[in-house]
Amino acid sequence: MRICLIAEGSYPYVSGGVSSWVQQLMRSMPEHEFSIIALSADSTRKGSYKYDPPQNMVEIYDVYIDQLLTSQGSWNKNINLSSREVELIVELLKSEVSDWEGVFDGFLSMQSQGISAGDIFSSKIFYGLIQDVYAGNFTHVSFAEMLWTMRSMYIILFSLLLRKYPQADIYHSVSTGYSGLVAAYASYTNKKGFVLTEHGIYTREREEEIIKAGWVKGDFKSIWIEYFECLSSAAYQCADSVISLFPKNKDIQINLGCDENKIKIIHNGINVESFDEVRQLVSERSENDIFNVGAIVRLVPIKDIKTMLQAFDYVSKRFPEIIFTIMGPTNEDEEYYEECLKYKEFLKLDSVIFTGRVNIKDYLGKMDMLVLTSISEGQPLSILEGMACALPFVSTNVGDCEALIKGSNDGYGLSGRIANIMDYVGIANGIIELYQDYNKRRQFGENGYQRVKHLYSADAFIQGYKDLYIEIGEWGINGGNRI
Amino acid sequence: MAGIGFELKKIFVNNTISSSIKGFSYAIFTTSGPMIINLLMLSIIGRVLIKAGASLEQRELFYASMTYSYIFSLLNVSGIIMIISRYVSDKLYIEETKDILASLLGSIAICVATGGVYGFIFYVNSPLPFVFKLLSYLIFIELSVINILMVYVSAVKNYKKVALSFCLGLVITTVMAMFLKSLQVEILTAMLIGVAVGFFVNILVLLIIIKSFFQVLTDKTFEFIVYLKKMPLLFLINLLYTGGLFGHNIIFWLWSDLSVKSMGTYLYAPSYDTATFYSVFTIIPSLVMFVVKTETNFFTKYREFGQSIINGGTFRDIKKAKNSMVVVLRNELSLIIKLQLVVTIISVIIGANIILPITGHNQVTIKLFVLLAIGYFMTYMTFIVITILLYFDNQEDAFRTALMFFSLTVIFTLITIFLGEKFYGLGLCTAAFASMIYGGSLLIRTLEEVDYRVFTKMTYYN
Repeated sequence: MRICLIAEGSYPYVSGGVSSWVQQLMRSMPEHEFSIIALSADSTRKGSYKYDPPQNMVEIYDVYIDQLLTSQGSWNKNINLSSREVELIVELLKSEVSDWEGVFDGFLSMQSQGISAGDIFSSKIFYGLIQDVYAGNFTHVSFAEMLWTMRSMYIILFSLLLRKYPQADIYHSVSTGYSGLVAAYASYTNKKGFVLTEHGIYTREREEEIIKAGWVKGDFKSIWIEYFECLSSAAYQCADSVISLFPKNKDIQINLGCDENKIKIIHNGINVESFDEVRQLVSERSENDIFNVGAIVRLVPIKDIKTMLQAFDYVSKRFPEIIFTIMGPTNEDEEYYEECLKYKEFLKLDSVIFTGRVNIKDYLGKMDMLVLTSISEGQPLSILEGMACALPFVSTNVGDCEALIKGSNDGYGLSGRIANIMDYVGIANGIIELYQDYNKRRQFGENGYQRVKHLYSADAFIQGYKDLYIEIGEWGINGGNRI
Repeated sequence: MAGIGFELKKIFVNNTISSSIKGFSYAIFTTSGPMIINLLMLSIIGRVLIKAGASLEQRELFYASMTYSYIFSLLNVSGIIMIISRYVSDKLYIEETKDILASLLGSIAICVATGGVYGFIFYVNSPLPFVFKLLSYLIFIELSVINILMVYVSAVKNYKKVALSFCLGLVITTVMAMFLKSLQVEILTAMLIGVAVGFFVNILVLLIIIKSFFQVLTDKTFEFIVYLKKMPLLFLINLLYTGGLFGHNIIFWLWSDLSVKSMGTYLYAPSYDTATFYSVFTIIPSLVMFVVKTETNFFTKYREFGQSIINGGTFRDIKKAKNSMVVVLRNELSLIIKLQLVVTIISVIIGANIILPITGHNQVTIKLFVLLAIGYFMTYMTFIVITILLYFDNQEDAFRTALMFFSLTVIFTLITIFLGEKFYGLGLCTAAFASMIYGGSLLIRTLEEVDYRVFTKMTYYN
């Protein structure tokens, strides 16, 4: 079978949990071919892959969002739309789509007329529709601003629906949002199955971004949030199977309108044996060694490195002998990295080391514990990896972190401490507690190791997807008849 | 570029007869300097030639040389003028004025080069004396340069100095011509040297005015050529309009039975050309009124409309600004049409019954004058329509109008020649009428959908 994975802002251009997950999935299924639809924001990164594509990966189909934004059309082009299609576009512009397949049909018909997204935006019919939407909901705001906002939103969406995607037997999107939409559209037009795996909750992540974003003015924040909710509804509505990584996310998905019966839970998994050597080194560490605190993170705002530095500072003021090592690429958001360096400078934290991108197995053996301070996570691989090395954790309570560390009554016991997001004192106290109690941290490490070994193995994870692919693939072979 | 119109408007504020005359004369020079100066020179030097006892043949040779220089200099620069005037106004808008002076040199260089080619081809086989050919050629090139300078002059907004420069040129021409004549220089040569020197001084003064305003000279001499690539229609619009404006004359020279040839060089059609000369005078009131009143009043509303969009107006604000702009434009246009209609009717009555008969013109000329005066009235209205269309960056419709004007003028003029003398003069008349109506209908449509255009084309107000 050929499986087409659709990823937004991750594989193969950005390293991180989702990208590693994609790489792991492809490597573990040599019996299948994979193609990638990579939606990326920055066309200048073209060709700079962060991963070695495995043998069974046959194609990377690139879509650059920044290029879609500048799509130019011919002005005042005649566009033939039925009244039903017009109705559907209005629903789309109001972010209230009830019938995505109808929307897809409309765009297929426009595609066959040779119409581009730019054409739509410079057409009279669209200008009329925008006025209707404006008259309905926005009469008090600047018309120009509303129009530009709508344009910058929908030109991406329209462009994505006005192109052809590579053939595959299954379309597997690794998030909702634009990639979920593309997967829904490709699976609908090619009459093949659609699997959705959601690591974090796309809609929530965008919502947090928009609420904080300075470039979105008050009135327009709700438009943007509704837009992303609407985008995600395409994936929830059209997917044949929706995979959640853990129960908490499943509940959120149901709240966002996904049919409960479609949702399955497949944990992430890692190859625990490959960390045996590191685990050995960790177990040899004595109480008298210099205490090393580590963090496996990319230097990006969502990981909240500043709170981490604050916590380290808190610890360092009391126990200056502790060394902190932050392992992960620094070039993804260089501005943020610069800010972190300045902040470290400001706090005079000489005991903090940024290693940049490294092979973590070279470092984990020297660690005594790990820290994660993210403000948003799914089911982080870095925690699974740390646990495979029998390292205890202090983590913020996001995504599935609490369940990974406390266990959900699985009998393996605690494998670390949980703190609230941005609570640097809570994080610091967790670190201090583990620093001061050698036996406790050994016990926590061992508990984590047992949990990950038994519940989060790569084999279970891979088998879950193998079965799913067979099931959904057969559905596709039968002509995509859903009855 | 309505800038200079606003300056001129201030003179009229006093509402006295003297201020009106003052404003009117400034307006004439700053808006149509080259045309007025030519008409005046032809009249003044024509008198001098008659007084000096020059033969009819000599006088006609002089007229022909001047007319050719004027018409072909306009044809030579018409396209490029549009391009640089858009370039200059964009540069002014983004307040990047440092490259403007360089573009002046670039556009002059191009027009001198193309003019050189045309002039050479035209004069190389002519049997005229070399000195005469050289002077005529110089005048042609000087007029080309002045036409280009006019674009920059309207950005400078110093109408007093501009009017002064033209008057100075005119005085120097007369003095120089008289002086040479007193030295017993051959009469035609003396006159042409006078004109050439007068224009030269004119150019120098205009250059000084422009130079002192823009000051900086960068090396972006030919940057404006990008605009030619980006907006080739602008080039064609003015070329076609100018082509139509003189096309009917040229066709009469080439193919009508009114045509004669002077010194084996200049074809011309004396009665048709004389009628043209007088009818051009009749549209001067519109010329001034458009720049001083129509364009400025419209522009104020046009800018408000733009502001309503930029400053975050609601859809209702935008609609309101649009409607008020449309109303003002409609009122102004109907006013200028009415005014020119009255002027044309009075001119035709006085001209046909008093002035032309007194100055000894024949019936053919008088009848042609009547038709051409009406024709020029509608031609100028067509020009106004094209100008307004370009305010909304509707280059396509402006092009359609200009193309129609040019083609109909050529075709209808040819048909009138074919139909015979009774129909002479109807060519321009009917062509201009049809183009005015056609352009007007395009303008109405453009105004209706102007907000759609602004929001979906994004070529202006940004």
